[in-house]
Amino acid sequence: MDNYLIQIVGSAFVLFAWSRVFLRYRDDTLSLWGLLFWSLIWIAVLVVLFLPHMTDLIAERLGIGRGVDVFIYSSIVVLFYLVYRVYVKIESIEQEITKVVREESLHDLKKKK
Amino acid sequence: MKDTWIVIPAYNEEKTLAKVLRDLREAGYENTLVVDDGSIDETLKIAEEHAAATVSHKLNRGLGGALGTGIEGAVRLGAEYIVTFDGDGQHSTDDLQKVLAPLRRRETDVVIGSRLLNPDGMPWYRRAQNWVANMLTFVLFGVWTTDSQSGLRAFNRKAAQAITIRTNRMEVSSEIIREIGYHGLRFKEVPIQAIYTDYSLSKGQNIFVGLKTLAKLIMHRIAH
Repeated sequence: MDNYLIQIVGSAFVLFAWSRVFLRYRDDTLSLWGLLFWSLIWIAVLVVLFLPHMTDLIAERLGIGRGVDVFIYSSIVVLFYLVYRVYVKIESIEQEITKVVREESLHDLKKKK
Repeated sequence: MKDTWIVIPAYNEEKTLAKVLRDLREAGYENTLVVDDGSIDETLKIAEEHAAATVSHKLNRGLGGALGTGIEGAVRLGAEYIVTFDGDGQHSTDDLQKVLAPLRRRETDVVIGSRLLNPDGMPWYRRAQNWVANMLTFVLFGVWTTDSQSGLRAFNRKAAQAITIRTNRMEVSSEIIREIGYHGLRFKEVPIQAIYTDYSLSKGQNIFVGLKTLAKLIMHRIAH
């Protein structure tokens, strides 16, 4: 077991991260789809931690040199996607805030005599 | 001009707002609606003193947020014609007649006062920046204007009700153009003066705000 340390630390982190996901699901801030999506992501990380050679198979199929590169490339893609999602979410929250501020400000609109 | 409301979005404009409002009144435009966008200076007090109507945002929402509120407010006040006018003193009241005339003749639904049909006095870097903004507006939204970033615009009631402003910040100028194209509104440009002082230049879009605006416009194009 040459990857001993990374496997312990990695698993601990995955457990921690997944517990957060589960808690968010339980208090209803995360949908069932969100739970599934994040569970899949973290299971994939576990698989890579314990069976690093799995990624070599995928690498071969995709024509990427090393297995570990597949992992890094897909991580970057997932990160980009998540950043984009966060961006869209923030933008829509900003718009909601404006709506509230606007309605509140127009509440007592009248022409001065 | 009882059927016309002048909407003035104002964020920390205490230095210029009183004069802008006095000039408007003297020019015969008594219906002024100031949208104080969460200013931290005396803007709100000055507006309440000099404007015919004032609304105030509890939080600063940016130019787009303020314009959306102002246009909505003017519609609720029964305006037939709505003009957006900057609070920093860069517009001349003489130009109001020019942007309103085509609307009153029912030739068009929206008029944009273009500083670039008559670009005297605009610094070259502002001209270059405007050209880039116009190109992008065209590429993204398919409407060609000579001054997509102009703050002097006039709408008839129909156009004001049709246009939805979703963005909060500077990219609102391009968004209004997009809405014109989207709703098939008739649109016209007329040449106006821009009074460039150090003050009004400091309030506009500098190159960094410009780049941020660009990034947001592209993201919008992808997201909607």
